[in-house]
Amino acid sequence: MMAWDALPDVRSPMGRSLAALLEPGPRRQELPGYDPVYRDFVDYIIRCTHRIWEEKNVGLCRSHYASDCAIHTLAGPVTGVEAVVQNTVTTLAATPDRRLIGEDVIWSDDSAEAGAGAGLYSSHRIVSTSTHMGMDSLLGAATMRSAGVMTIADCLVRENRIVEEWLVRDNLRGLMQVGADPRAVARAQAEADGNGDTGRHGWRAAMIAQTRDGEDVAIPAGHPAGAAAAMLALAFRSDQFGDAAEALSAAAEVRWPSGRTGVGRGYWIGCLTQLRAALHDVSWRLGHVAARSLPGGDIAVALRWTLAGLHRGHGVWGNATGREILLMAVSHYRLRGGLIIEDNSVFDELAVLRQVCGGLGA
Amino acid sequence: MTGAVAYLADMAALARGDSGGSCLLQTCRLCGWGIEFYGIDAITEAFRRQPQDFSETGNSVAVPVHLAMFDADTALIADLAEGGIQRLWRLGPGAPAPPEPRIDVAFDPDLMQAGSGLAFAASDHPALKPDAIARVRAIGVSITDRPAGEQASGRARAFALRAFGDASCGAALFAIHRLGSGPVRTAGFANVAALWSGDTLHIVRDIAGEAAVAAAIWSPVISA
Repeated sequence: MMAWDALPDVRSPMGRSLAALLEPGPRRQELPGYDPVYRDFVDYIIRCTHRIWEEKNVGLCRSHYASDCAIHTLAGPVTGVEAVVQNTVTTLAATPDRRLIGEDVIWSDDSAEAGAGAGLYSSHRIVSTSTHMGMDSLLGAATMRSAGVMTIADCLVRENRIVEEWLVRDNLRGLMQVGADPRAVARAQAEADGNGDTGRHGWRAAMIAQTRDGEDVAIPAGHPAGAAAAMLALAFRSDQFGDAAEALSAAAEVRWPSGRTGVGRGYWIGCLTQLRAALHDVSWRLGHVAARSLPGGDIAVALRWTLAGLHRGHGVWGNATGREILLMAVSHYRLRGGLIIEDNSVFDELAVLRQVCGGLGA
Repeated sequence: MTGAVAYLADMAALARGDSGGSCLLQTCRLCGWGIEFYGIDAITEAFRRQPQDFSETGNSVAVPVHLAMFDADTALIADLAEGGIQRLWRLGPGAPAPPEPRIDVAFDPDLMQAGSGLAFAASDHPALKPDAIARVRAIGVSITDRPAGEQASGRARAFALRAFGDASCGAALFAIHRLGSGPVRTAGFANVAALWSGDTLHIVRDIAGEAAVAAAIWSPVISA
């Protein structure tokens, strides 16, 4: 694996204007097989997102996704580039003024990884702002209300094409912003999940098994992600929330899904115990790590992780159902002086509620 | 220093509702009137709805990466990046913005029985000179007490979000978590800003944010 702080000229987009980010120019990084327009890997992520979504050239997906690409979401997998094209067009029809505002791209060169994991890997934090002007399968009939939610897209890329993607979006917040009833939507989704061949939901059982039995991704010695990963492991595996929270600054800003926004170690613990109280017998697994330098000497760390547990606690999602629940999350941390000063964590809590309501298979 | 000062006129125009937001980054967040606004359009619209004239006698503090503007009862604090303003906090009176539905989080701000009243790590604030640390600490502890004569307002804890400058001149921004008094309590964060210049200390409370906290419905579950 390339050193996390190699190629310092390939900079984070943080703090830079869109005009500066999209300024054309020569290559800053060797990118064999990538379109000449891209200056480096961060530029590839920012610029292709802009071209596809904001310039509405959705067909570019066909040269930026592998024909058999696999996209993992907590609402089920999406396979193949034509499904990506169709989903993008459908989303734009419902929210045509959608802006995908790139906040950060935390990337790693995983070219040395064996087999399917080899390539450049990006963890792209986006805030999507839009107006709900058209019919949407998730949001329902047009409400003409504005929404703005955080999304993190983790992408494995080879030669200009995304071959695998892990997509987490704060869908529950988006629903609440347009005035929808999340429980009604989740119940309807869960009911639909029971129709037809329920074998299509086998991915969820497989991902739960991987979370229960799989090993964590290895973190190189001295990598900045180590402390953040240890923090989550200590909290979810040992319930040592206070010790875990010492990885955060005393006044760290915390942003979690569904409008959870607060300050301090206690607030962070509150976010975790809210989940942990609802889920018993939990397993936590670390799927990927990356880190890059930020302006001013700060460090950005990205962790992709999953959590599985039995919904035996009455709490944030309502009465206990006993169902086994899966979360897929990505956390972006900003480190200063070795401590976390910002935590932006995203998971699809609507898909969690859908599982609570009995959806996405056994 | 000069670059940061150049933003003063931009921020004043933004506050008056006269700016198209060219000084703002596309990723800018504004915390004001009890909620968070994201992006240039939402932020300029928020200021246009409740414009504010900063008087020429107002105070300001500028360092390369932060800026603070204070008027009698209103303050603007900004984080600056190479491309423009990255974060903004607006504090003062005004009508709270319509609240966004959210899941509230039950938590303990102290993590100990004897609450210190202030969470502050000087290392979080590289633009704060060492000679100003004691001052920030003292301000942070003092602002959790309401002025004499005001209604008792329950438990308050301060978290230092931003602090910059030196002993002679500087500014700080605190998030105050307040558990309201009364048999059924309110809870939430509202900000307080401080600006010091010599012996003069100017404190601005986010009255609109406090009103938003007082009116909020506590919901640590997914509501229907």
